[in-house]
Amino acid sequence: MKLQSPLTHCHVCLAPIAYPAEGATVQCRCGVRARALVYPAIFRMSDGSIGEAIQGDGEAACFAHEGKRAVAACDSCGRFVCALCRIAWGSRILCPTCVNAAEKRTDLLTRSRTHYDTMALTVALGSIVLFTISVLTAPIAIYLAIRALRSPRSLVPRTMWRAWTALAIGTLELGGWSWLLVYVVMRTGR
Amino acid sequence: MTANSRVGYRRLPGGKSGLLRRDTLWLGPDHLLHVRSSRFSEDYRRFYFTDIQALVVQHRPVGNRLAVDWVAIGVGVAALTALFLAHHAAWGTLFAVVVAAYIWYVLRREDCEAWVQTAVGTAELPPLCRIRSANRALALIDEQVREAQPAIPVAELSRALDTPPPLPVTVEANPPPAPPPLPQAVDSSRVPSPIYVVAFVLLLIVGVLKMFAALSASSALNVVWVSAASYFAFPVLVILPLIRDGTRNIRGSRLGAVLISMVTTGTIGMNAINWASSEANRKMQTAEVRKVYETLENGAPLRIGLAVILLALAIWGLLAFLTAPGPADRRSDGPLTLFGPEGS
Repeated sequence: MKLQSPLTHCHVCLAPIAYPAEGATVQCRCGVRARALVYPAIFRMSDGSIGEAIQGDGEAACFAHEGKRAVAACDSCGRFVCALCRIAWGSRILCPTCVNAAEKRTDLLTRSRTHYDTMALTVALGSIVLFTISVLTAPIAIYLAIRALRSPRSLVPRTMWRAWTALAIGTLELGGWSWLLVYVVMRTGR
Repeated sequence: MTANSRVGYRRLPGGKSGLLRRDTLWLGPDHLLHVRSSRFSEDYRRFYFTDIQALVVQHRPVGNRLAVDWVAIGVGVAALTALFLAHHAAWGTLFAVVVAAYIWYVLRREDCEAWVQTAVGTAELPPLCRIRSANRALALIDEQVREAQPAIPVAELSRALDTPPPLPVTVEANPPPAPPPLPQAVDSSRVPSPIYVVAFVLLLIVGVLKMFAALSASSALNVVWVSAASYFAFPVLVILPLIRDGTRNIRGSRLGAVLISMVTTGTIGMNAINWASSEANRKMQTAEVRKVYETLENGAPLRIGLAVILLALAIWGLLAFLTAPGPADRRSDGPLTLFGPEGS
């Protein structure tokens, strides 16, 4: 049960630990050694602001909240935003609409990716083991491999050998089935 | 923010792999990326350098690791000895398996835990689970975070650690009444269970009987049930409770681990000698060789040594469990805040 913050408590005996700011290693009373690297951001806490109401006619209003005073402009679309809508993203200020729209267009907001190439390879290898069902699984493997090649790739470096291998296996299996079909038809025709 | 922009990531040392899950850390231009891969998908979590308040690394207790080391060495030495004595391929195979398993274990064992703290909360970094790789990764992350954040004197940071920053400003004029305090949680893992005490008392009896048997040089007291109890019941009675408690709440867990390893090694060694002795009696005709094995098998120092270790383990176990701090000794945790319990 780890209820305490590791910055203040030992994770083994849950006793308080006083870390030196320079990052030196300390030893808890239970014998566990630990080290903390502390940075200036520790002083920065959320101010809990939700935006102030407009006091006079000369003040700009938030695009999304008419009654709230604008405190910044979106660096992407230029709309005025209140303290509630202002999203600090690195060194830029964005509005929620731009962040939402950008989620699908940029790697910087992607939260998950599907490995279609691994799926394709698994199906392709499975169809080698169970060859009799490969007439069904080979097209699936080819579809998944093509989808892997067309979909956005992993954020981190990842080669596409799985997709190409699955494509090759699927194509070979389909070719084999086609040849078998032609062979059977020709034999039957004679 | 460009369409389809690709971010260049650099892989950090460390990683944690399981059967279906793999955790890795990557260094981006302005953030740290934690990638959790399952078989068919991967999830990302970003920690921007400007948001990182602290990085914490805490070692894990060495108790369990030490026990595995000793058991591996004991089994390996016993298998090697048996191989030289019996010249049977089975012992060589056992030795090779033990060595391979131990190397695999050493390369993969986790000896630390790491966390990153931001203003939002604290998140564990599973890839940093080995000290050496964690230190190398932290050095790289530290460099980037220090570049991204303005420099502040160490004295200022020390003050931040001594006095937690104020909580966010209360927006509502009339804050809702505080909820009633939660009941005090009782950590049952620190309360010694009677079954453990009974187990160690039984172990103490076994040790005393074996000591009498060794000193009297008579097999009258070295009855079968005593041997069976010490060889087979001992792991159930002692090791399982230790594993259940993770050795972390038990005093002197390192000593206990060493004693357990010695008893395990000793019992395996004694069995190896007994087996080799019987083989020698069966196969070898030389009276002098038989005499050497019989001396080894019936040697009092070995039996006395094993009995002493058994007694030490039993006494340690009783003392450790009987002197374990109860719930009353624990400090009040209080309400949880970002910086731990209030008032700590």
